[in-house]
Amino acid sequence: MYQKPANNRRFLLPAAALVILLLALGIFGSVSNPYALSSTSTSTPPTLTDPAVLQNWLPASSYQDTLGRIDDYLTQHKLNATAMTVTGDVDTTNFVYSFKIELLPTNQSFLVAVTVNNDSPILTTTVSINGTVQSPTVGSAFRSLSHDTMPDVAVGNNTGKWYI
Amino acid sequence: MELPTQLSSLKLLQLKRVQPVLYLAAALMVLVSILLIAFTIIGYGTLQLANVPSSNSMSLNGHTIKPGTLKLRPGDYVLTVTAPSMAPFATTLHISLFRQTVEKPILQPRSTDAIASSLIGAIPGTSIPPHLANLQWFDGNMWVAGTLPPTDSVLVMKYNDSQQQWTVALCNNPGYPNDPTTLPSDVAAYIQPLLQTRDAAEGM
Repeated sequence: MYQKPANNRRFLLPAAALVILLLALGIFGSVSNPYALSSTSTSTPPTLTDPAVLQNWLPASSYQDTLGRIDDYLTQHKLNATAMTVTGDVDTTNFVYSFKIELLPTNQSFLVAVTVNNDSPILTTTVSINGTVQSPTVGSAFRSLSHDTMPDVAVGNNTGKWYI
Repeated sequence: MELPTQLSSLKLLQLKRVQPVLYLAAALMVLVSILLIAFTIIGYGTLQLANVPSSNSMSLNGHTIKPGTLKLRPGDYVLTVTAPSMAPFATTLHISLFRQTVEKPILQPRSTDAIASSLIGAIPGTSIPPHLANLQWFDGNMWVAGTLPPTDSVLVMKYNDSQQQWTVALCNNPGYPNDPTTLPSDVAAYIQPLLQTRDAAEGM
């Protein structure tokens, strides 16, 4: 039953190498990339990598509503993404703001068309994704304020903001 | 008494056979460890951003960055450059190991249609994205005035330098500031005939 120390020593070098490897893996894992895409679970909305492209065109409240409807769409269709990006520019012909969203890392994409109705000065935002109007759903309030309760009133000098 | 001795010899023989494999595995693990640590220390590429005014905001994968040279892990990154008066610049960059990537964003002035869209969303009373006509800039591009076809509403927008944002200074529709006397004299003089044209059209 008793093994001689000489036999135990045979395992000493591989065991030490294993410890070194685990240590190296630990160091490698702990030095994270500060500019990596923030990873998210399915319960949180994916980060939009280039929000300025949409904010260049959409009023602040319409931008928030649009993100809310996109989150709803991703949840309803069980689409997982760690981030999303706007590919190309925003097209304002045909009376809508249309653009393409690409999900990362799957590169799955869909077309979004946003209609903003200005009822001097209350704004109402309607979002269509791949041609289907995306209705607000319960649970999307974390990203967008519902227009049923919080109309977007643009009055005086606070008619809009350019967020940096 | 002989049996245990035979078993012990067998184990020793097995160990001797396994030993080279274990040592080889140990050598491989050490090699991988060295590579991992080396990559942790020097496994970067660099990104150099050129021709970007310091007043612009920049982000990489959504993280705010400053102009200059950045050490980055190899991979793809989304670079966004924004400023209130410039059109946003967004591009995907690939960073390679040990290589320098130089990016010189070509920045364009922000379109007046985009400024108006981000402020009013649509022409008042409609869902039509604004496209300004009769456009005129004033005061070193701090003010811009124009009309919004097809309603021909008059829209004046002002850039607030301290808040770094555009605001509606005048729009002759309910709910918006609509007092031409608050405008600089040259802006007020420019929009006066536009307002009269609109009023005349509404009167008809």
